[in-house]
Order: sequence, then structure tokens, then C-alpha cells
Amino acid sequence: MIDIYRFINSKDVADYLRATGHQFTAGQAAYLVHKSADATLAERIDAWRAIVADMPEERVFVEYREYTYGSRELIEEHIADKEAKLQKFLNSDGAAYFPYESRWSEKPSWVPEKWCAENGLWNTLRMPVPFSTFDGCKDYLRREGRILGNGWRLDTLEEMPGRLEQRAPKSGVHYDRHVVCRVVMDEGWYQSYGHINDPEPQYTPLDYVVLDGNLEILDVAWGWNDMTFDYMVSAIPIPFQRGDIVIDRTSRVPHPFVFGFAIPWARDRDGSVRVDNEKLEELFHEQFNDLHREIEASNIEAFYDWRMTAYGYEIDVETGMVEVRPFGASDNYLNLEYYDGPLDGELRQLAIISELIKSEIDLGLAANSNRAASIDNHLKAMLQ
Amino acid sequence: MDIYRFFNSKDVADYLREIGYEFTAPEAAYIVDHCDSATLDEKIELWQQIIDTMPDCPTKWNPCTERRDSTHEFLREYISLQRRMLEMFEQSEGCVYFVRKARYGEWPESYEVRNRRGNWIERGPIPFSSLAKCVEHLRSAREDDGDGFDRYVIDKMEIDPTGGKYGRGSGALSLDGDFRPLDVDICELDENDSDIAYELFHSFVELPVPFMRGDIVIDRTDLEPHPFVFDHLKFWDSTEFVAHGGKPLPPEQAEKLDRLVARMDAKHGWDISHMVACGYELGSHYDGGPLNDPCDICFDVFGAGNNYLDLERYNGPLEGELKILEAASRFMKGEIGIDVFLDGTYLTSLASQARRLERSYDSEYVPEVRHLYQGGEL
Repeated sequence: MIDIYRFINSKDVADYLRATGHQFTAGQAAYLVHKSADATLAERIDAWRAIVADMPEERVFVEYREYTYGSRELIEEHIADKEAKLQKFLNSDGAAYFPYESRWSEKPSWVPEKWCAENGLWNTLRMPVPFSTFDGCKDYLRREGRILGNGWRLDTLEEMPGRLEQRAPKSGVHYDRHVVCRVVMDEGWYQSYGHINDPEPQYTPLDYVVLDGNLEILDVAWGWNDMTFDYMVSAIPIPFQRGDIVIDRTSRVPHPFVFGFAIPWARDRDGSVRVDNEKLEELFHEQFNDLHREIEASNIEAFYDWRMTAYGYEIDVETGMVEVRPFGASDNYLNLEYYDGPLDGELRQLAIISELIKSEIDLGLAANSNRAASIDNHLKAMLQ
Repeated sequence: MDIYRFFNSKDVADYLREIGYEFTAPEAAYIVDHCDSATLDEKIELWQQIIDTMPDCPTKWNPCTERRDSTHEFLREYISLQRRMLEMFEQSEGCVYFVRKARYGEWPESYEVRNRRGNWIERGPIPFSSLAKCVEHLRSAREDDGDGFDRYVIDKMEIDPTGGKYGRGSGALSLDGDFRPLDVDICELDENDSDIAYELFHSFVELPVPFMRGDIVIDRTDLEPHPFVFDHLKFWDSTEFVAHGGKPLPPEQAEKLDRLVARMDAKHGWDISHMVACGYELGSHYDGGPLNDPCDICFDVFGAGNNYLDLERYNGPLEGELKILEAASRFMKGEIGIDVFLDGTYLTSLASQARRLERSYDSEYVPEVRHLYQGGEL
């Protein structure tokens, strides 16, 4: 029998589901495998095949196709689709491959905090290095990995254009993710999406593979993501309560936030998540619908995965202000974990919000503590 | 020969015309090379005119290069190299071309980007097999969209690079809005060509400028143009410093500075790093900088402007955080006292903080929260 827990990105969610003996449907299991951040594509295909073989069939209505399918049919279709996409990606005729971006396993000491606040640990290309084959591109990344593994050396770095300028040697830092994209020559465009309000408009190509640190393929994307699996998942219980400080470590820029509610539970509550402020929830829904209309009108297809969004209070890195983002604090509530890191600097405000929500302090103490924390943060920044 | 039209700064050009400054051949060659708007063809024509009409003289462009006996001879080699580099850039075998970035002549109103600092936008890695196809794509995009770009930077890179930093034959080409070459750079030249290619770029040129300490200036050719309060230039001695509005230095300090300048003059020690303009600017070009504070005013030892010859007096509005520059300017010119300066910067800082809060709540998606901030009843 397939060990579905190993595909869940959050250890806290996995532990909770294991402890409560949650019975997964085939759709839920397939979705969790689909969303696994660490499993290779080959492992995921094996897991989907195991789900088809071992788990009971269920019927799934796919809204945008306006048709009801069997889960087995959808999963098999998805496997065939992934394999076809990979074949298309590996076809090098008339195309060029680029190492588009890579992710450090930890923050190198020479990378500024401000960079990480905007980019996470992702190092996006400045100058594309083109290759005529995917294997050629992987060789380049392998060579780069060897250099990083042995510590950064100025002479060998000369061979590696396109990266954030290195400032100082730091041994032990390596990349644990790479994105390699494929772009057709002379077409003059590629399908891409940009991040709304991105300070430097970045366009991520849509035909790409994600590799792990060993250059194993984790996922392949070709054109717009298929959202079929998003219809296969019904609400999966989570242990988080309103006011808990959580983090989504799989997000591009992981940041702790105070959990408010998650979309599936706002729609379909069964008591597992206590959303006790109904007015807040209604407000969000009203606003959410406005947003959805706005996005449809502007023809931006960036909102396909909204069904899993978790909302909460977070700190705006630019202003240091508390904010609730309309697109949510995390794309997927199943990726959340309890945040057990330090709550210092601007993150002190999260502790105050959490305590206020949980009625551990009153509003007067919360307001005054927040003001004191803000002044203290500013003072410390000036004295640095 | 109208050398003034090649100045990036109208203020510097007007001043030099007014005082009737007589350019040497190396100075004129540098101004032409440094011009941000002239096409490569126009530059070549002017360098040829310099050879034909201006007296020849020896030159030493910077401390790292050998003394050259003839500026004319250097320019002949430089013109030839520029033409060869353009040809090399067009040779497409084993290479691909990308539009790395483009600059809007005027930023489109409908295109909102948070913390925008300049008019440049980065482009994605869209490859072309020849320069002609790449330019053709830009041309058709202009016809389709009327995109309004006035600059492009096209990179050429070796596909499957095997050695060197960017691969043999790699380089960059700047084009103006009419797709005419402005500047070409080839990464891997032989030693002699490489020396010639970068000598002018890295050189040091000393010309008089009209700016006084406390003037608010801007370098519009900067990637991220930002006004700052001019203080001094790195190659000025104590006399120049005072002539440009600086307070007389204590004798010991003045003597030390003058000795340093004389020593650098004697050994031709100045280089491109001394072309910067020193002054006070708002933290990281007033996007907040490391302090996350747009009112953080600081003196950058590496210069607030990259090249003092590109400076112009800033005559835009001094609103918001920029009021701090106005206070610093007036304080440096002795127009206000220390009390008004400190109180003014403090009040501007408070107002700025309030505005940022306001902006934050203006974009608040929960109507009740927005309403609460705006002071109405719930």
C-alpha cells in the first residue's frame, strides 16, 4: 500500500492526519502526490499508478470541462500528459535550453537580507546561458554544483555567468533546486506569467523542468498548468487554529504569518478549523469575488489554484506593516507548518497578533506593544 | 565641429561654451565616446573629424594603460576596432541573440510597477539565431504594439559555451529607438584589441563644471536617475573645493589634500573611479535602502553620481521625501540654520511615514479596515 504521508509537504499536517487516522480518497491521494515538492517525477508516476491499482474509484466533476470522470481515468490521463510533456521538453529541434534559476539550500552569508525578502533563496539568471540540448545544460549545472560543493573560487566562477554576483567564498553552500526552461528559437516570444506588482517584472517561462540538487527531474511544465487535480481534492483536515503562527516552507519566499482561515474551510467547514469571526470571513468572500471578477476581466490566468489558499496576517517587508493579502499568505494550506523560529525584529508583531486573536492579551496591550516594537525596530535599523 | 552636442549634460555643455573652453583631442574623443545618444556612425564621423581638424598630442588615458604618443593614431585604431566589433557581433554562427533589456522613452501610465526606479525593463531569454531576426522581431513588435522603447540592449552568447566567461564571440549591442547601433562590446578580444576597446571607457578627464556645493543635481543617463545634493569632486584640490562653495579647510587638511592631488596629477593616477560625483542622496535612491527608510540621507563614498560630466541641475518637484534634499541643500549653502534643517528633516520623515501607512491602508482589500483608517464610522 502506498505511503501517502511521505508525499505531504508539511510534517505537521502529515502527523495530524496520521494521528487522526484520516482515510484518503483516491482524489486526495493523487492530489497530494501531485503537489509533493520533493518527490521526483518518476516517484510520483509510480505513486499515481499505485493509487490507481490499490484505491477505490471515485467520481469527479471537472468544472471547467463540465464533465464527470472516474478518478482512475483522470490519473491515467495525467500520467500520460506528464510523459508527453517531458518528451516535448526533451525535443531539442529548433530550441534552446537555459538554466533559468536555482535555489540555495541555505542563505549564503554574502547574500543580502533584502534580496532574500524579495526572492527567497532563488537566484534568477541575469544573463541567460544558452544550450542546444538539455544534457548540455545539465552538464553546466553539474559543473557549477561541483564548484559550489568545494567552496566558491574566483577562478572557476569566471566560467559561470548569469548568477547573482558572488561576494565572498562560502564553502558548503549548494543549490537544491534548478529550473531549466526551453524556448523555441526565432519565435520571438514564450508563454509566461509575471508576478503582479513585481518590482522588477519577471516572466517565468511556462515550458520548463524543475530539478533537485542531484539534477533529477521533479516536475515538468508545458504551457498552462492543468488544474484537473485541483477538482479532485476535497477539504483535507489540518491541525491549525486561528491565531497559530505558521509558515509555508515550499513557497517561493517562505515567511511566517498568523493563520486566519483556509478557503476550503471557509466554504465547507466541519469544525476542524475554528473560524470564529464570521464577519471577517464574509468580508473576505465578498472581496474575493470582486478580485476574481477583476482577474477574469483583465485576462490574467494566475488564480487557478485559489481553492487551496490560506489567509492570514503577515508583515509587509517593505513597510513593516501588518497586512492581509488578497491572494492569501500561502497558496496551499496543506503546506503549512507551525513556525518555531525566532520571533524577533518585525516578526514580534506576529506574536502580538497571535496573542490578541487567542485572547491572551487585550487590545490595549496589543496596540501599545505593537507601537513599541515598531519604534524599537526602526531604532535598531538606524543604529546598525 | 560641434563637440557640445555630444555632452550628456546640457548644463555642462552650456557652461563650457560660455567660458570658451578649448578642448584637447583626447578630451573631445572621450566626450564623443561617452555620449549616450549619438549613434556609432555619428561617433565614428566625429572621431574622424577630431583626427582631421584637431592638433595631435600624446595621451595617457588612465594609470593602467601605456602612454600613447599620438591620440590620432589611437583614434584610427579605435575606429577600426569599433567597425570590426560590429562585424563580429553580427557573425551568428554557433551563437544566439537575446533582447536583454529595453528602456521606455516615457513610462506607460497604465503600467504600474511598485518601487520603479528607472525606465528599463528586463526581458526574458527569447533566443534568435541572427541579429537581423532579433531586430526584425523588435521592429514588428513596434509596429504591432507601438511599444515606445527608445533603447534596447541585445546580448549575443555562444550556445553550449565551452570556455571563457560568456563564450567566444559573445557581446552586447545597444540600439536606439530607431534600431541604430549606439555602442558595441565584444567579450573576448585579443590583448591588444581589448586594451584599445576599454581605454576610453576607463579614462579620466578633467573639465570645469558649473556646479556649486549644495546644488541639487541629477544624472539622467543613470540606470536609475535620482536627484542628490552635490558636494564635491574627488580630484579637486582645496582651492577648487572653496571655489565651488566649500568651506575653507583647516590649513593642515588643505595642505594634505593639495599634496595628494599634486601627487596623483604627477603620476597620472586618476582613473574612471575618480569621475564620480560625491554628494548626499536618499537611501538607495529613496526606495528605502537597507534601513527600509526612504528618508535615510547618506553620503556614498563611491559617489552619488557615476560621472560628474553627466550632471544637470535638478528642476523637478521637491515633494515628499525629496524635501529632505532641499533642506540639506539649503543648509549646505548656509541659507538655513541647523535647527531648521534638523526639524525640517524630522517633520518630512514623519509625514513620509504617515503617507506610507496611508498607502498601505488605501490598498487594503477589506472595506471595513479601509473605512476605519479613513476616519469614518463603521
